[in-house]
Amino acid sequence: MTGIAEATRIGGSVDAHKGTGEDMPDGRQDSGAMSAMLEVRDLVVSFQGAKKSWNNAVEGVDFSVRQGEILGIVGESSCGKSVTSFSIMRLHNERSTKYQGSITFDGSDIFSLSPKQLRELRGGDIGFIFQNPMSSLNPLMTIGQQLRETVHAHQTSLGKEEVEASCIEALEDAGSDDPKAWMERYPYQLSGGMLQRVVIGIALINHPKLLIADEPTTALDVTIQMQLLKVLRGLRDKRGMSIILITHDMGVVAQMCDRVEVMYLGQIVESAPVDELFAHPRHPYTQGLLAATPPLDGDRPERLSTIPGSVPQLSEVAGSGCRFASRCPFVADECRKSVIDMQSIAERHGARCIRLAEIGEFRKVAS
Amino acid sequence: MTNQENPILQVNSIYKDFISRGLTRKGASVFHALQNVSFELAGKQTYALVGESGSGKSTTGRIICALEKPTTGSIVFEGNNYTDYSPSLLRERIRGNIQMVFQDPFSALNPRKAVGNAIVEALEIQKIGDSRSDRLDMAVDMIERVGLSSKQIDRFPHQFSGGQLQRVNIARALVVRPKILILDESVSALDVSVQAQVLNLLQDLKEEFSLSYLFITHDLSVVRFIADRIGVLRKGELVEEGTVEQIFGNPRTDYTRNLLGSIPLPDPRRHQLMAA
Repeated sequence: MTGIAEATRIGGSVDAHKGTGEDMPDGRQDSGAMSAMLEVRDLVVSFQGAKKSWNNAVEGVDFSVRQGEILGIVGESSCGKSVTSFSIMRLHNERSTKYQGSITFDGSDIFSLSPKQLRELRGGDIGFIFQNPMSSLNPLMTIGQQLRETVHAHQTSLGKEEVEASCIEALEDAGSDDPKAWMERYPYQLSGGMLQRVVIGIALINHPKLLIADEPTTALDVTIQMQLLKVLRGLRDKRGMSIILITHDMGVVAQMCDRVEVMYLGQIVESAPVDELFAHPRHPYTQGLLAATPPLDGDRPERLSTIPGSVPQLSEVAGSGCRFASRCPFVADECRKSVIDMQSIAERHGARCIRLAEIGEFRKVAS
Repeated sequence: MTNQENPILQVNSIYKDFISRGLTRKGASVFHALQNVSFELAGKQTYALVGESGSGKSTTGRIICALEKPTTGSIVFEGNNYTDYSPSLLRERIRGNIQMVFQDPFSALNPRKAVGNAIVEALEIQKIGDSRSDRLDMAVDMIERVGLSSKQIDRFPHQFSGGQLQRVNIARALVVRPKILILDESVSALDVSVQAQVLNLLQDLKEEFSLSYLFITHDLSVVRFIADRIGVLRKGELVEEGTVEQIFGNPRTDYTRNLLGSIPLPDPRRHQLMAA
């Protein structure tokens, strides 16, 4: 992370607060050329709608995750965050889903894997944490049974004691204070925060290289959220695994992530290292999102700044122009005419907006 | 806020126990949801109740809205103790004055009723307005006041987005001209950009209709924006109370400090996760 952040800083606006790399395990500081753990290229996911029509839920999504990197995907609801993350493990019903583009995980092409290979990948090298822990656990099985089941599905050669030991280790890593007692309980006997730790434990148990966490703390209290974020970050530091964190909370992104992809209506509209994104947000949507969050320090504003309107249905956004045009305060005629591509701003910082230069000036005048 | 008038609402040491009966006598247990909670809501003020889940925030709101009776203690609205009012007396004197907006805008409305009719129904129950057309006019007025178009009045809940529907719920609550609005996690389910719109709307409406808000939420950044006073609940007890400046600037209990310290700051330069 340090290397990455260092390489892309521009204008010296960010202090050297991460310069020592004390939060990183050794040997990962110098990784400018490190190969990506996951590469998503031009992903298009379309679902079958009424009358056999196909609707693109996600279009032209392009990102990569390096080893040991925490990538944040942010955006409001129905922006395609979850569709994207489900696609990485091909979790959509394939009878009514079409994928285009490519997803490469650790050298293998996800779309050419057989069902058996996919099963090995899911819960093996890729762990997944869903938003609601209660509905991702089986209410009729004890926590222990569910952990053991996950181990047996992937590591058939282990003996009974070894399985037990790895269950306990996984729960401990997920922040459980008494793993043995937890394993004998049923899901209803544990609180929401404890259950989410169990789910994290299950995702970790086969030592995944990539963990996908889809709104892992949204349903939890802030105090529990903070503990779990610490657990997740600690796991990245300890095991060096990559994490994709999907969230709508800008605070969580700021605290957790190395890089951020901002999504709006199925497209990535801005992509940047976290420091850069918060210091110099360029896309009007990112700027709007950051400004709409009520501030926690400084003056209390009389009014919050808002993004006008609400996220439209994809079908309502006609034509090929910018999808944010209907809500954008900087919209011009040219925005609605042609397909807007990602514009490069700095190394590893891009935004899908053709009026970046004008917007920058506009903001200067306004402030 | 410097408001020296008599408080519009007083909550006097309420207790609420929930008794769960087990299969055997041994299995029965008592859960103390609220213990000795007292606070006052001044006129035109916003009072925020914060705390973790299970701390009794919503129970307090439901008791004030007279959806539930406290085990002991009393609630006084404009000098009248309405704790033991009969349902008809409540409807006559309290329901029109204290209204509630819930967290999930979809489940708060009847899916088979056009939103205009849902608003008119509230007026019918409160016997406001003389004729249906009269009430419909009031509904249209209110729907436009919350930022929706009068054309949308014949639509059904599924034709709205979450933010629009929460506006409908606010309109339905305000159309009977209450003095107190209880907002139980009313903006928590909304997206950030829409949440900001609804919060601004609430600020405007407060001025326009001289409302007092009881704002129940776990989101402290929202509280800081909208509240005048804050009460912090923990396991059914009010552990701390004060103005926004006092609570955020100088929290007195560890619990409040922990709560405040747990909000992820939207600033990557300030590290909160390094300690553990």
